[in-house]
Amino acid sequence: MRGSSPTAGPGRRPVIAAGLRRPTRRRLMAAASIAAALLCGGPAAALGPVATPTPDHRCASWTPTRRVLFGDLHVHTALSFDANSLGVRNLPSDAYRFARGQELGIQPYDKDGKARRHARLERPLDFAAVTDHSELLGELHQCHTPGAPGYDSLVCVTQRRWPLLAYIFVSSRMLNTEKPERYGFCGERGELCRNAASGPWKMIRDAAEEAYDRTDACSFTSFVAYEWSGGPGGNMTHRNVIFADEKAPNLPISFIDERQGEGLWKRLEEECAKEGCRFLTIPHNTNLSNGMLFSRETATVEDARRRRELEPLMEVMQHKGDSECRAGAADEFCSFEKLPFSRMEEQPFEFRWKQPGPLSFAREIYGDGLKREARLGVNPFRLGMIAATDTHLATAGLVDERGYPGHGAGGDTSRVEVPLVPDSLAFNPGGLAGVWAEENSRESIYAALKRREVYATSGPRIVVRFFGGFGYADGMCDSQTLAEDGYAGGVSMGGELNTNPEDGVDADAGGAPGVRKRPTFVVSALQDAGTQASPGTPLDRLQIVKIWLDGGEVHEKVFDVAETDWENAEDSLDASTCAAPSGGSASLCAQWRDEEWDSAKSALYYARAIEVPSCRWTGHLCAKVRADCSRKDSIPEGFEFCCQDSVAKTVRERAITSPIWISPGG
Amino acid sequence: MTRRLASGLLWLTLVLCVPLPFFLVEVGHQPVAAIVQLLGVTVALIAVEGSDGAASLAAWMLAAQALLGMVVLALAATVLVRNIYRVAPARGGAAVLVLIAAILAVALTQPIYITPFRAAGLHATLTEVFE
Repeated sequence: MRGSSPTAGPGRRPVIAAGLRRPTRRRLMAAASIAAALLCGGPAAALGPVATPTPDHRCASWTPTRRVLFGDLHVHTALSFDANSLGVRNLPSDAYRFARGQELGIQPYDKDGKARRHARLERPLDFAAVTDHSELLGELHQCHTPGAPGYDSLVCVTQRRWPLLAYIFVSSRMLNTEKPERYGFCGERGELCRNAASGPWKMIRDAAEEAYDRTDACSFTSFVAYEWSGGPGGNMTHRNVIFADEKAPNLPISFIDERQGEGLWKRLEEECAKEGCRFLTIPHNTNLSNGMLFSRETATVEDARRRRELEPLMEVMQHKGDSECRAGAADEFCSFEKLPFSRMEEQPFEFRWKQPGPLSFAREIYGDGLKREARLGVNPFRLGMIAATDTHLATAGLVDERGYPGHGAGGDTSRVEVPLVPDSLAFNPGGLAGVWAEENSRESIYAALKRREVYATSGPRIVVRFFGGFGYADGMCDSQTLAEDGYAGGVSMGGELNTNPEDGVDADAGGAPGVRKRPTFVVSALQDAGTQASPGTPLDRLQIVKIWLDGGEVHEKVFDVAETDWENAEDSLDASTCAAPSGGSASLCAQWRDEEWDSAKSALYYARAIEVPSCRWTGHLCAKVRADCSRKDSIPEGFEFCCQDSVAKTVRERAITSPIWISPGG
Repeated sequence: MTRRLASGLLWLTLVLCVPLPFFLVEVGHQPVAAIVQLLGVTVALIAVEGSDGAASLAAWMLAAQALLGMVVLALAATVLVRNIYRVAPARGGAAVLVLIAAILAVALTQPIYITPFRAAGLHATLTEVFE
């Protein structure tokens, strides 16, 4: 089937740039050359209010119309109990070295301690954050520090002797439970282990400080960060905590200290009031939360306001699956990197697999946010979208499908042997966060995260702009000043459109008083340029997803706003060799007006840029061993999945922008 | 050597040396004695730190697999000894001792065990399993 499937409203055929001409290939290509400069930070025009005021900006590449930066805000190292139990030895400083483009040895290790595998990014990241689990930081430190009070405890002996066994026990007692408890060796009220966390926490902070490029070159930005890993009943309520700068609490707050998001934010606010720090939190793996990140919390107006302020983003794509929308929805592109279970503890037992509960996917969460806004007057779930790897091997940003070595934790471990198949088949290399910032600095990126001018990519560095406004002139895609006009006449991704009555009336709509203009959106994308060794994959289409509230019911609809004239890229990809696919376009741009918009109804819109099919990591493996399903003897042992339809061999990589919200009355 | 003693010795050897498949989240091939060792650690953890879901479940799974392995190996030892004594009634004891020595030799020199929980590596000899 070609095209997406609108899920509501009359007519199955998606509206193409309603009210405007459909973009032709020629126009797209013409616009591409203009957009390329603009999207990547073209000449700095005087834009006045467009740029975030950054009085101390210092980077040589400061760009008022903002430039896209790619990074990974979810990275684990050997300081995380689970990664350590999997034989990972790389530390935060190694993760940052890797992010900056240096080669890194990864598990397994031989008897001499030499890494038996190595990895390197083809393109360094612009920014990264090591987010080791705050839980068990102190316990692990004690277990590996001779002379520490807990070193000779049974738990620590078990951890050193049978690390995986210890991880199973410890995660059950302290992570995947309603009531986490510290072990006896942590002393009264767990103070010994809590204080022991100061050592590794300092290591994390020092590594971030060391990696941050404070020169005018601004080549790399690191963030002090950690992961708060709640797991009531095995349902993930994990959040990464990102600090704006080097200031952070003396100790990270863990799930053992605070068991709910509200408690976490309150404690962080208290700690940061003392330390002068600023922070935001980013929940992830809503697909494994059974909705508990959103259903249990945020009942009051005050809670909703605090949440909206402190939790501006969610991570919708990573190693452990995609969380944008539920598989099986009318939108065919939702069947993408979905896990077949709803909690990690179901994973080993197929008979226990269940579908994730309500509020496990971004679209459901957005819809619930609109409902809460109608009830509370505040939408606590105005969340931008990013992606990350969640690697547990310290391999920040390693998203290449080709040569994927796995990311550990939850997947296959590679702890003691180089595996034939490096990960659980349902897992994937994860994605990246795209951030529109004036410069590659903590101040600028943090501001972009706060205002949600960010997007998720499933790995490729697709460059996407998404603007929405009521006053855009036609022909934005042909404009040489797309970004300037986009900011001047509306808002970028993550923004909120003002619909106050004093904004005026729409002359196009008859000029009658009270008749509102229609919101217009501009989405422009450039394919990942790739490298000489691994060229990027062309784009297939641009879509705008609309979610709105009508009579208390949430509706959603997907619009194809730009498509290539390529008909069936699935056929153009030779999955047996994974040779570069044909078809698609290097760039796409569309301007689309929502003719169905009703100013009385809350709505949000986000854009998706979807590539033509390319080989998934499983497909690359099957191509490498030349698996031929017509000849059983060509299938090596362990590669039977190459001939199983249930295991995807191709993938539709994508970028998903943060939404633009429009609420009645602003 | 009595047949009963021979059976007992052979059973102990099999419990110590024969790699049996076992499952606890990961799959491995370990001697029953190693499974008992893991069971012991798990029970000790429960005794010291209190019970929780995973530890209790693991203890039950390990206990069940250890018990099953012991029973199977007891049957195997009994059948083997009976047949050895039937073939060589006068030298049955010596034959059993030779068999035990051969099993030990293989177990001590060949990495026939798959030990998913051991920190030092997946494939191991008997001494490495317990070292």
